[in-house]
Amino acid sequence: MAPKPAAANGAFVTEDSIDYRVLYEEERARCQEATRSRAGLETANARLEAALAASQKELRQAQTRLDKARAEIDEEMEIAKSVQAGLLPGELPEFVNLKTADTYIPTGKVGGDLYDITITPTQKVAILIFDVSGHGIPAALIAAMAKMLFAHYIEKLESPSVVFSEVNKRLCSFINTDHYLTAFLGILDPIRNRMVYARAGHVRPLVYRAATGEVDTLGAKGFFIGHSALIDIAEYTEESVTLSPGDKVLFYTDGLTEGSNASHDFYGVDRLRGAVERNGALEPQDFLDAVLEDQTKFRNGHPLRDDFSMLCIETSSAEWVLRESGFTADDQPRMLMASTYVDIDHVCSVVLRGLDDNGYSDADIKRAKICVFEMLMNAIEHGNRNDPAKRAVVLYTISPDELKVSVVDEGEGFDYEHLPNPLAPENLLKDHGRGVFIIREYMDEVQFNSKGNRMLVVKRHHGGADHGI
Amino acid sequence: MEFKLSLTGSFGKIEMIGQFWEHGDFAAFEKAIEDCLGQGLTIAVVDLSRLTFVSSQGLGRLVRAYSKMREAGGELALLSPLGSVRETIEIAGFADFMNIYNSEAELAEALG
Repeated sequence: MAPKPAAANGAFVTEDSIDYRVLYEEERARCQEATRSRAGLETANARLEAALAASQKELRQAQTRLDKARAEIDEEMEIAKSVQAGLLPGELPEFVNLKTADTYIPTGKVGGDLYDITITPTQKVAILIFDVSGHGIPAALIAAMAKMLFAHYIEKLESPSVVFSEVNKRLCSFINTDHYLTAFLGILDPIRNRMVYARAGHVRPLVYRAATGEVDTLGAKGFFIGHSALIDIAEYTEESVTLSPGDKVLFYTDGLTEGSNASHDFYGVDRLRGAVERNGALEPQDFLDAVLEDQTKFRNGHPLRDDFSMLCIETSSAEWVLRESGFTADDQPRMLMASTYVDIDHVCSVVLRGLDDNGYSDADIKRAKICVFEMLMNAIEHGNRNDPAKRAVVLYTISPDELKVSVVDEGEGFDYEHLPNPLAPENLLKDHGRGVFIIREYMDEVQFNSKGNRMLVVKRHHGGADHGI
Repeated sequence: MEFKLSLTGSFGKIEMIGQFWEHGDFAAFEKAIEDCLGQGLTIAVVDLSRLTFVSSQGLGRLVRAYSKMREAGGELALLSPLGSVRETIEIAGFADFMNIYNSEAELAEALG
């Protein structure tokens, strides 16, 4: 048998003989290798464990940071929701011949819905509703910004389409995201019950006609507001609608009609229209509750994807106000209301500002203040007997030539024909009875209605220097 | 509004600052008159130089105070009504029965 080479030491063994030295060396080498490997393994293990521990620590720290960040975001979202809620009107203003109601349905997220009813400087009623695209803090921030801009321009301009154009220009320069908003703005003349309006891509408000039970929609053409891609083509048309006593207008955001059921069918405009037809005769808040109930029933527990808002106005006739006031609709008087002493201050300041704007002298303004004040005081204290539920309705017109003010109260009237003369010796030391006398001294005309619950005064303005005071 | 009451010298001086028409102010004014009488001062001078508005009810309270001082054997005078306040007081005929002084000097001379 030919010998064959054996292991690394080069020793030769036959098949029948065993070289133990070689075996030993081989075994020793394997052991050394194993020992090295084990040590390496242990080292590697130790390294891995250390790395794992470090990673776990890092992960825990990251988790802590994440929890903190999430808590901060949650807190900020809560603040954002609170800010947004604060932008909604707490209490809608009260009007002589206008009832209002509102409902906001949140979804837990911060949304971009906002609405408001305000009184313009010319005593018209501005009804605004808008909806910012998307959710979260960006939408809430844009909503807050938009609300400020709308308030600013509604105060300055009374054309809804011009207001939209101005707000659009401003918002486009502020918003550098894909957010935009849809909006509807109506400016209602409460005497004539005529509303001029513009629509910026917003869902069309529905009008319930009390006389027929029919439902109309208010449409006008206009692009979204605030989307910079549309700034050059954004145009807003203006339309108007005349409302009759008992008519309602429902303003809403699309979250209402886009509420869906488990089959993903939208509630939709047609169902909404049906709910408006069925419930239009209800009082405004009951009406909104009924619409909400109808939508909720349709969704049958399916959650809302979007928050939504509803705003309702119901007009009534201003005829009695005009009839009693001594004005006609053609006079286009402005209307104010007072029920308490606080209101007196407001009415006086509005009227006096009007006089100032029309160039009346400081002395004439002060004289007018005494008269308007006394008229309101009479109406609230003597007419309405300090009942805050009763109103004194103030209608007035101011031109550079003439101030005309009418105050109608809800009292029984008084005998204006037999007012004692406070300058008579027997009345000089009385502590009452001078109000109407002073008004008569200051004004050019003082008239009462037959019931005696309305006083109308006229002061003609000749301009020029102050006379004496 | 604000009242400043000084009870030094031979008379009590009540300075009215602001607008005189609220019921709370009427009560404060009546209290000031009571304080004058309580100090044995029979002359009350109401300084109107910083009064910017008075309602007809405010005028009534001045008349009531005047009557009260008179009943106590004293006097109530007005000092330096200006502008629309003066005009209103004149329209109400106060000059026919109440002393109205145009300045501190005039008052000092009248009261000796």
